Amino acid sequence: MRAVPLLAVAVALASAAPFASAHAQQKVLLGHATTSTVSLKLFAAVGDIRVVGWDRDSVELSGVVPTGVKAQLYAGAPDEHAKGLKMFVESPTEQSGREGTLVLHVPRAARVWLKTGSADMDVTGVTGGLDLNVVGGSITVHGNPKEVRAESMDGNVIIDGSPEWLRAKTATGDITLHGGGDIGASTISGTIRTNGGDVERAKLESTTGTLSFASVLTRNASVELETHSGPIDIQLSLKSDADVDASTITGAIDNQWTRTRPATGREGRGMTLQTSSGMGGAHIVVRSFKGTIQLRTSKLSLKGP
Amino acid sequence: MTDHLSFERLCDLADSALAPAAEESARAHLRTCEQCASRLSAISALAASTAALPQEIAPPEGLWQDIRKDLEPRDAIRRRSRAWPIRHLAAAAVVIAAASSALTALVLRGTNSDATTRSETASAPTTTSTPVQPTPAELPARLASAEHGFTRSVDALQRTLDERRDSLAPSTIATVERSVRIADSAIAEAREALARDPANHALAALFASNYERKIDLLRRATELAPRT
Amino acid sequence: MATVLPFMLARSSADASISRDASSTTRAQRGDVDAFEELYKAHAGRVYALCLRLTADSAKARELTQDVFVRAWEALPEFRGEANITTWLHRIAVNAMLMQRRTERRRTARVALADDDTDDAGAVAAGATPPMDVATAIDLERAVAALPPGVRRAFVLHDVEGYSHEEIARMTGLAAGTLRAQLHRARQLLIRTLSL
Repeated sequence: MRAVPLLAVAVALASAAPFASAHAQQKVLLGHATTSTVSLKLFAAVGDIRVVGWDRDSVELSGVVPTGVKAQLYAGAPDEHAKGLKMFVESPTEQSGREGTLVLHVPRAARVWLKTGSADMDVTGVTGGLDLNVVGGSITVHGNPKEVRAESMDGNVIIDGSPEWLRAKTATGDITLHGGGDIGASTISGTIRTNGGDVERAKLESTTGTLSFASVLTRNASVELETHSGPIDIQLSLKSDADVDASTITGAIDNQWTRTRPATGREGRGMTLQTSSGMGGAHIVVRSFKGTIQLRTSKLSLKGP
Repeated sequence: MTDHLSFERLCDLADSALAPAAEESARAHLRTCEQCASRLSAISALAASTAALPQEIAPPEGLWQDIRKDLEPRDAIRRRSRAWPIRHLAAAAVVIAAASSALTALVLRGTNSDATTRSETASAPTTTSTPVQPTPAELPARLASAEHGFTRSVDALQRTLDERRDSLAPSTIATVERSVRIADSAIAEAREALARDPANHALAALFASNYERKIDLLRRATELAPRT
Repeated sequence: MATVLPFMLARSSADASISRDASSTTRAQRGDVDAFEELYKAHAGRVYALCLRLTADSAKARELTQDVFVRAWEALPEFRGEANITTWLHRIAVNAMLMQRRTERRRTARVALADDDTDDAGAVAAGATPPMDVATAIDLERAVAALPPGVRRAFVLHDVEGYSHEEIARMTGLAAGTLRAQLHRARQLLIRTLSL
């Protein structure tokens, strides 16, 4: 990797430059030389933000925002490669906070902490860590960061890579995942879906939202699914070496994965099912109050050691 | 001998965490495999040594004096709490988190679990100051007490959120309130079922999870408040 | 590494008076510092043991224990006795330790990762800690202190303190599966180190 001298600018130069436009907009250009593993915090009250990992030891924030928006960057000495820096993009009004687009380039191995109000976030090519927090926008992460924490109140969260460590939370937004080493996802009423990819450890939980698990289990994988009333749909390969322990308080269990029939639960209510396929090994625990649990056969196979 | 039991499987066996069929199969293997039997015996030896560890270690001299210097008078704490709600919230977060998980433990204690946890069994003989296991007759009162703790955490967060309501966007407030109503409805349903079947471990866990998700939602909402 | 050896005490007797605790708690809630000192004397040994085992560092354990009792003093008026005071103090200790770790991570620009522990796990496995005599408490304390932080936390909370996977998962935010894996790794390393 190489540093980009152009971006090793002093903090004093890193301010929003006015940009004449019919829509009363201005350009933003902030930059700083950094280490390859820089830790970056960005508070941004703008419309949309794209984060892109690049093969340079520098950070650059560029884009177009409404006039009056202030952008600032704080780092150490301007001639040094910063190990950590903070950036703020502040809007004078709520309306201006919903407009504009920013692109943040960071070293691939950077650790990025990003908090916004209603922006849609889109992250590509970052292999370090991501801590993303948005109230009303969506979060989309492409690629395989080492770790991801993504929280949105009512926006959707989509992680299409396979982080080693992942925590995703929403209140009403949907969460879509594509496997990972250690996954935790929680929602009140959104849908949580794992769609392909390999899963080593996972805990998915909802209050009323649907839980849908359709990923490949690694050997000795451990998966927990828990809901109050959301339907739970689990798709497993017939070749899976897995134990499933499922129970509901009042809900039904429909097992199409093995021939084991669910039993009636405590005091004649709800259902329980303990079944396994192959030699066992992977462990799936499913708990539901009244949501229906369905086990189906998928074409996904168990991943070898 | 091929296809040895994995270390994880042996640990699960030692912890009585295997399903009956899996346990029987593992024990059958152990009868014919010295290597696995020996590894299981090492795991058991470690468990025995761990159980024999002292529960107390004398704190360093002078620690109490240092703590004593940091204790503020009660009324000063109350004044500070009123003057600095944000700082208070940060301190309270630790306590609320502590209370929340302690309450979950309280809800789960005394219920029936297929895989009995170590906290309910192995630690009991070596514990000197924890309470004795509750009898089933105590459970309803215990659950009510635990729920009271949850609701106090909820109330504390709700008050903080109300204080910052003006700084939140109306759409955010609507989302939070809608989600709280959903959580409350689930809690009510689980509570009713738990009152009928207070020894049901799975039900108790679902009941506690509903509260924890609600508390987590409110906590996140209070953290959003200053900037949204 | 922790200096645990000189400070070991015999296991406390089983007749620790719950009613004395209740009386001290009530008086401490009203602001009686002497009563709070009684609570400190009754519980500091257990809290410090937990802090020392979690941090594997006597200076950090001292600081953490101090923090726990100061937080407890501030929060005591809110304590209604749903859990017993020992359990309550333990939870505060665990949460304070977890928050401290998160703060340290932020300070060093590292983002939390359960698998961070795998790097230094190799050092233990490779024999950074010399093998001990078989299974004495002292050897075990040393070996536990030498474990990587994540797996040590799992071992201390589950095997020493007796919390369930479920409880630890709720406290730490980690998936129960992660905790199981950490616990198994801790046991593997300890068995190897202690030559069991």
